[in-house]
Amino acid sequence: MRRLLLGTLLGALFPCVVSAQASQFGTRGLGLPGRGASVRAMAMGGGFSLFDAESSLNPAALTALENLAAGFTVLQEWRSPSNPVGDASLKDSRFPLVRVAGPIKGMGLWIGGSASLYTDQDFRIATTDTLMLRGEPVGIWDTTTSLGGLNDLQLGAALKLNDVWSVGMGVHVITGGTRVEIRRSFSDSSFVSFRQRAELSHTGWGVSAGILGQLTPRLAVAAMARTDAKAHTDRDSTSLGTIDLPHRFGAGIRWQARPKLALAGHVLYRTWSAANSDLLARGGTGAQNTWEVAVGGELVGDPERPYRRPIRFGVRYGQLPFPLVTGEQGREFGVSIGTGTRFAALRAGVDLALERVWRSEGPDFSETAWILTAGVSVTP
Amino acid sequence: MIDVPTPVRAARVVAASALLCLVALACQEDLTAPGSCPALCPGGAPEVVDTVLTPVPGGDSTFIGYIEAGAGSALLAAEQLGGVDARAVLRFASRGDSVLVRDTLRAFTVDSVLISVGLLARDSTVSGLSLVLYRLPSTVDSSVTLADVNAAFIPANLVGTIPIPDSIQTGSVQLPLADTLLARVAIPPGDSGILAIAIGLQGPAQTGVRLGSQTGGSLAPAFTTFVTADIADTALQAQSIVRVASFNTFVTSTAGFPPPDLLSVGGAPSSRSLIRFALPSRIKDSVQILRATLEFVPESPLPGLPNDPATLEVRGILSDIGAKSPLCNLSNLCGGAIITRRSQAELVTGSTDTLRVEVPDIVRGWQGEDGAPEAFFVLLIPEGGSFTTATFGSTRAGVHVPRLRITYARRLEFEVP
Repeated sequence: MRRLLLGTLLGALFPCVVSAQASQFGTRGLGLPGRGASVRAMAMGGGFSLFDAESSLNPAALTALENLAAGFTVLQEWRSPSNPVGDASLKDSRFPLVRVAGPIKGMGLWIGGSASLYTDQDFRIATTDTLMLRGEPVGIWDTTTSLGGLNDLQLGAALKLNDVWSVGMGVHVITGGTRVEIRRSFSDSSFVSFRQRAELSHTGWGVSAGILGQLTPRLAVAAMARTDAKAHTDRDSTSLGTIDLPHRFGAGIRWQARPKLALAGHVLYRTWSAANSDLLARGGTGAQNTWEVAVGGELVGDPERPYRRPIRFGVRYGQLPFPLVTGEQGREFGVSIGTGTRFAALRAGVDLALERVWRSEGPDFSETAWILTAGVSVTP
Repeated sequence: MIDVPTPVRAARVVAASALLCLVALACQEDLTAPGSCPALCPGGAPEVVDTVLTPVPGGDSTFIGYIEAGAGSALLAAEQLGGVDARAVLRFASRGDSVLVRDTLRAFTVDSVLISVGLLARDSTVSGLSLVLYRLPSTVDSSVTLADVNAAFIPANLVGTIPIPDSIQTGSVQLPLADTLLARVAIPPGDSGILAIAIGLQGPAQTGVRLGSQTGGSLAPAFTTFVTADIADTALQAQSIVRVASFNTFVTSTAGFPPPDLLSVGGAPSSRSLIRFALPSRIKDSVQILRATLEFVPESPLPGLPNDPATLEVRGILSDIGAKSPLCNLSNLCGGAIITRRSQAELVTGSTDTLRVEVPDIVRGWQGEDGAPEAFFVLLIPEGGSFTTATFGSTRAGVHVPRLRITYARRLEFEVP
């Protein structure tokens, strides 16, 4: 219990290094939503997220843990955004999920803590233009940089009601912010380059609940619901009011199709449009509700030892909540594969996932990315 | 102790290596994407604004008397340059009637004399120049006038002529005198060993030269006497006595003070102008100044020596106490900003073009609660030693009023989700 609490505390402190998902589709609104999925779940397109104890989506999934486990994820992404101005080849890295969870022996209770991306606003955009200054055309180069995003700190507990049903609840603290900066330089050196900065911070909270049912040895279902309250927003320590955060609802199914093959999928719905009026009132492009559908599978070589280099695969389709252009809606499609292994008497494990993602909004904005994710989990 | 089988150990090594590689990769970032505004420009872009300010009415004044003629780095000599005559006046330090050799003052006889003058600037397009040197009374002082000097320009007072080679733009020129010519610089006993001379200019055209003053370092004027000392040791007989100018000035035919309703800089005694502005609160409080330019329109073609431009310098002030306001210095704090570069513009002889002086550091120093006084002090360099003067309009004249053009960026209200 002490180790679990210590681990949870460490996990709660870790958001300071949680970085972001740099993408041109994360430039508006609150940015690009995080997924809260473990590497194993990401390798299966996210389809197993509602059943995965190492993901933070469904607190009821904690009951799948047999021992205390801690894990973190590191991710490297190579992106190729395209927009009316041009193309680029970019790369960035981040640590999207840290998690500590395990059972409390003798109580039939599981608790866990995690730090994951709620939304993500790491980006750097370079633009060029010409201004008429003092009657002369002067070229300008702007670089807008945003570093940060919102973190989701979850403390969850789960209870096994019987051999079939498990339930879980989580409380969430949503915190974090972005440091935004714009730098401008001029083609005419008579005008000095300058930069302007602001620090935006947000705080909010939410609660989530989930249920997991092992209906038959081969069929399981899961569902979750979560509601997040308004987030308070400050700019440079000055309160700017609140913004509505979404509810989310999800349901999934897992089917052990063959002894060596498990399949799962889920549907998630998020009511991001709650923030629409707040964003429009502040000059933004608004927000829209989103659907996400994910399906994946895991093929193991030896059903007795499923941890030995299974082959995972999945596909995912999702909508993006914060449009670049008012009225449009971005979407993303991903195909993923991955594997993993456990060692040290099953006390440690490494998982890998590789995902190819296509994102687009309207005819003008698109992006492709290779996302390589690695996760380490340890059972002390 | 857990027994780890070999395959598991190998798998652990592979996994650890893979993770290490990934962590190494994770150190690589390249985030900059091409931006397409307004879609990818949350909050838009900073608005850049250009505005023009005029001085506070009546808040611009000219003060006279900063650097007297001769107190600057240069002396002037000219012949009808822009209708102006100028003569340099030198009075050398007293030369005694003995020379110190081996701790003993000894009498001497003069063998020769060398008068050196430093040429600081000339009009390089005019050739065939000569300096003409005439004796002046040894009592000459700052009350001397051009008429006094011109009265001394008679053959009886001629010391000599120094041709200025056309190849020399700057450097020392000398007049050696020996034998019978020594009588021209002979110092009567009643003059206490003091030699005073005036220097005029001769040339084929109306032109002028600037000569080094007593503060001119290696180009300062010097009066050297080569003597034979009264001593038996022949190796010590040859001595020289060097005297620098103890007083120098120049006199010109320039008339009076500048017009009171105009702003002027330059001249001797030199004038400076103080120009006060009132910075709008929107600029004083919360904008970023990208460029600030002070603009002057000359009232008339700028007088001066061709090809010897002077410099208009604009300085901020630390406190506004009128004519004696302390000036901000380079690399020092001036209100809320450090002066990182000089604010200067070249004054080209004959020009009537608008003069623009970049003054961003000074104007930035006006911003904030601890801002410096919103004023400029304008002066001319070399002060007190230039043919150039500049006269500009003022708020009293109502025409050609100096303008301060400020380009600034407003604070960007970043998109706040």
